[in-house]
Amino acid sequence: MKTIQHIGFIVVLLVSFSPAILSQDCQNHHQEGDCRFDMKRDHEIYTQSRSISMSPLDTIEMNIVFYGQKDYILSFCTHKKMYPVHFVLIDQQTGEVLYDNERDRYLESLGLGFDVTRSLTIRIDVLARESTEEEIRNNVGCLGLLIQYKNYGEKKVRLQM
Amino acid sequence: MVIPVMMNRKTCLVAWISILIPLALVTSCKSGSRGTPTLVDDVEGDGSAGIESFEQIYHLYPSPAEMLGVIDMTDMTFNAGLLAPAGMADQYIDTRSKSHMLGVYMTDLAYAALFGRHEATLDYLELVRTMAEEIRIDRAVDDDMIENARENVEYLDSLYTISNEAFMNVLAFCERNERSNTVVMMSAGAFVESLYLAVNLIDDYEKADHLLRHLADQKYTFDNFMTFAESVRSDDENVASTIDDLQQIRKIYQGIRPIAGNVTVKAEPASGEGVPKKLVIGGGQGRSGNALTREEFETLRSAVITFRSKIVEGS
Repeated sequence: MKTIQHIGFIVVLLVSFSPAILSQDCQNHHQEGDCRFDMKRDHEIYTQSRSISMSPLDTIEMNIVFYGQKDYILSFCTHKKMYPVHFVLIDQQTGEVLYDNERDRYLESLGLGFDVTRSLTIRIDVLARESTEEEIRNNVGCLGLLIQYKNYGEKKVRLQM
Repeated sequence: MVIPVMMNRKTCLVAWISILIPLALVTSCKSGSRGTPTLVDDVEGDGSAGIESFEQIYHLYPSPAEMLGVIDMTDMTFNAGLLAPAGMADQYIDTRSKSHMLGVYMTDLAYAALFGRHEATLDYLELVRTMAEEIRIDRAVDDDMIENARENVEYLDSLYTISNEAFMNVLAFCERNERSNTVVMMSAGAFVESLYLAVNLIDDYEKADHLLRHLADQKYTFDNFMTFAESVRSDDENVASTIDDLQQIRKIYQGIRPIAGNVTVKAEPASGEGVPKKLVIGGGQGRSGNALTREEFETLRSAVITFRSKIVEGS
């Protein structure tokens, strides 16, 4: 009995002082986290959707190809301690900043229509406003980017029907 | 540290657990939080003030089905003769050939799925499963996916989704197991096969505006892929030789000028509940986008056919 008490004490001690890992497996966070609430039946999930683990101190850049004549929806999601998510869209060819979600109070979903094919860099960091200084230094959590798309033309088909 | 020689069993057990639990935590931190993602080429640490921060860059590109899905195939007919012969699958012996062919078969699977060719879709789904298993990629295609494809004969969308699912499963497995080299070789096969199918859909240069634009647009996909491939070149000689084989195609894409003119961004307000704010990104040339000159097209076609033949012949 004493042994079990010892083990229990050690486990509690170790868990209390270990760095917080807000999720162990991030692979499907873009489909299982808050992003799932943005899923649309009439859109396809783009295979460039990604989930990664990051800390509030990290910056992630994703270079993504967006085909022309399509509508996309970008949805960002993370652990509740890591919100808000800050993202900036940059034209990969020119380096020009096309959009910064800071100007829209860090909205988490954005529709994008592309007349022609382009490659954008999406720069992402999390501000972790609900976290303490210590949590910001220690926490690592999942960040999901769900990208959905549908063809421009599909709208016309529905209108004709 | 002096370890007492005499310990009773209880003390010994507690001591072992106190060593093993921290080890397990350290291991889970490494793999769960900062494992090296496959498509990342750059990880920088900033050790200022003793706090580590990282900047990771992911170079992403569409699946074969998404690359081919852009082509309007309404007026086109399915050409089984363009697909890699299914009967040759057991002739590929080395890992490099098998990885290339996995990409080729995935693209052929997507092509068959996009045309709603049920039998061909099932055949290539089986080929993808076999080839993936041979290079030790588990569950790229499982029994449920095959069954799902069998049951959804008439649903084009389902076949398309299954094709994408197989691609994502392979990528996810490689990312989990840090097999960037496999991703590069498979993607090279997939990319070249999708270009091969596209160039062979063009009979008349003058009447192929849409397809030529599609081929030119692959510049972005190719650029992202090559940047990622170069980042793992030094790790694997098969990756290095794959990159060398792609040099001719790379040269052509480097010569294509991106869309001229400024990028325009037009905001549209959210149009209803559950519909997010929307931006429309336009370019200086409106809908026309990139294009290929006749000379660029002929050179690209020749380079693609040469590399594709090399892959399919397993040389």
